[in-house]
Amino acid sequence: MTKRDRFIEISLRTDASSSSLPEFNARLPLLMGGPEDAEQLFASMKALVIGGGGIGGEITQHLGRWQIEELAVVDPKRFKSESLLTHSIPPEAVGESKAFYAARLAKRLSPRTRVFALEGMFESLSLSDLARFDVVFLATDGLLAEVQVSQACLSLGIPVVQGSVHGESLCGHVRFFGHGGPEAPCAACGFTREEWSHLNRSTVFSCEGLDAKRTTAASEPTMSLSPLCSLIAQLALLQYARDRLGLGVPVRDTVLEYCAYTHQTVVTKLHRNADCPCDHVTLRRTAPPRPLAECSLDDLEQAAGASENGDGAVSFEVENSIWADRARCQCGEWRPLGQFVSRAAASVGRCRKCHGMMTVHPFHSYRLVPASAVEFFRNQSLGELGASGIRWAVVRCNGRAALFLNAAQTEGQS
Amino acid sequence: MNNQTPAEAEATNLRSVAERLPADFDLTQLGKMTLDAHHSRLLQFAQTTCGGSPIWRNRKLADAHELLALAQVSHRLAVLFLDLREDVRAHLMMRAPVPCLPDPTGALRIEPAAELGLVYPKAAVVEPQPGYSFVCLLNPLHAWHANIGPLSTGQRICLGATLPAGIRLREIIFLVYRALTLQAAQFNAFDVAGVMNGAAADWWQRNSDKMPLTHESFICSERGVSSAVTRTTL
Repeated sequence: MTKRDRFIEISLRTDASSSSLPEFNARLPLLMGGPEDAEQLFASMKALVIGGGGIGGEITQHLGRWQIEELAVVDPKRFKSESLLTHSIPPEAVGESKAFYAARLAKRLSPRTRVFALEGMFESLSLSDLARFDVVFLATDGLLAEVQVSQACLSLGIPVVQGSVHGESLCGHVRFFGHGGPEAPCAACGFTREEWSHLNRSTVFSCEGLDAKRTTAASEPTMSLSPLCSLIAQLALLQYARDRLGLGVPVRDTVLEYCAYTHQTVVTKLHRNADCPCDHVTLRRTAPPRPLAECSLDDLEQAAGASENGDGAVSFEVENSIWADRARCQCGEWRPLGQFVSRAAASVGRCRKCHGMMTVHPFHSYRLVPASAVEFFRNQSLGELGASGIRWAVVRCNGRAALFLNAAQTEGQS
Repeated sequence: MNNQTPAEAEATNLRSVAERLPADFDLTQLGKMTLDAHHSRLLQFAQTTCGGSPIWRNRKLADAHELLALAQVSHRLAVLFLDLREDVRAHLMMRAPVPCLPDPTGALRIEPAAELGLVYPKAAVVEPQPGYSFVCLLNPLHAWHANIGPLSTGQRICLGATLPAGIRLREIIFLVYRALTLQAAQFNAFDVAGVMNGAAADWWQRNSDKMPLTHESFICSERGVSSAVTRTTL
């Protein structure tokens, strides 16, 4: 990962030697019907865990025991004293970041694993960060996060394994979204009217600073017995292990429900909802003809095969940038701009009339840039247009899309 | 030769709007309304470049039809430009009083119309959005309003803490009208949502007798048509 990532890599102190730690295959059984290279399949795994609580923390710990290649944990919260009741943590962990605590523990269990932590929200991850993972384990209690994770992972074709509990009925669920294409179900496909309403109720925004900071309204805490959380985490991992090693019947696009009152499990197929309001477009990953900053929009359109359609409905998206068509000064003066600028850019020069600060105007800026809005700039390189140092770009056309990742991001993709 | 005064012409205009609507007119019928030639042309032009996935395209076209129908029946709204290439992008003119204070030491000035820029992103269909994320007041400048941000951030209009996922364009338009006319406003500076101009919030709290700027509802009040506005769920 690069320096710009908000992930922080966990490292062990030098005295924490890995020499005494056993190899994973010391306890790996010869699984019935399993592949011969099972150990390698575990060792090459790259997993992202969203949520470091009762379920996510447990998942992270076991992924450490599997000694996988790369593991990252994302959670904005810190442990409270009540966390001791449902999480596998000691009292000393209260007050610590959930993401960092889980990541450190995993690193101690498997020094060979590259472990990263982000004390923040999933939405702050770049598409290129996300694209490197083989699987995402989702263990949050927010419907908005479910939608966001599912949307992003479906577009990249990354499977999502979601664990959740219903404490009162001693029930738990493991949903396995294979995200195998546009016709595959996403998390929102199964949302009821009540869940959409809950999503709206539980999300609030602050106007302070206009920086689109988003917080989720204080929600009900997860009420559950701790073994149920642990059990569901373990079932989620076993489901993924089955998928990774090809054991038994396929588990993709299924929901596994377990009830501790009856010890019964039910497996049900998940289906794509034809009326799902979410986009079910998958991005075809590809390498750009040259480093992205040296490519023009025309280059990308041709490499994506979008120009073959010739219907003009092509659009571009460039990492962390918006296309600024016009800027405005406090005096009301407009100025044509025509360049990519960082979403966080405070100003884009001085006004010729009053010398005040010009700012990008929200009505005249585009995150998804229609090709016709950049008609006169299509032969210039992205670097020349202000998007130097970008790691990814997307070209969309007629419900199809291509994701261009710079070489560093495409290497090692499975 | 027309001898009507501006006020009489306005009243005639309002009556003609009301007469064209069926007695049981309800805003849920906007999507089924037949557009006149001008508004049909606007929709057709936008339709030829409408992009995105099929579900997003359908949603944009349905919302665009409602927006144009609303402009057609209300005569309060003019759609100057409609772009459906990616986000819904509409350049609008709304006949609504807008409080302005171009000179901080001068008197409050009420402008008769608002030039608006509306952007409705695809994400808004499935994710709740901040209330300030949809509409900018392009003109007049120097709005003096608690819920309108500074020029440096595009004079964004805050329509509430959170607007629900999938909110319809027509509902955003009604919220904008109610905000501009101060029929609905949020002045509590200690509330995390709504106040974009603390000084204006304070001023309006001290001058609450001037609110609202008009009692007219979005669609004219003849024949009780205005009640249709309030019947929609916002």
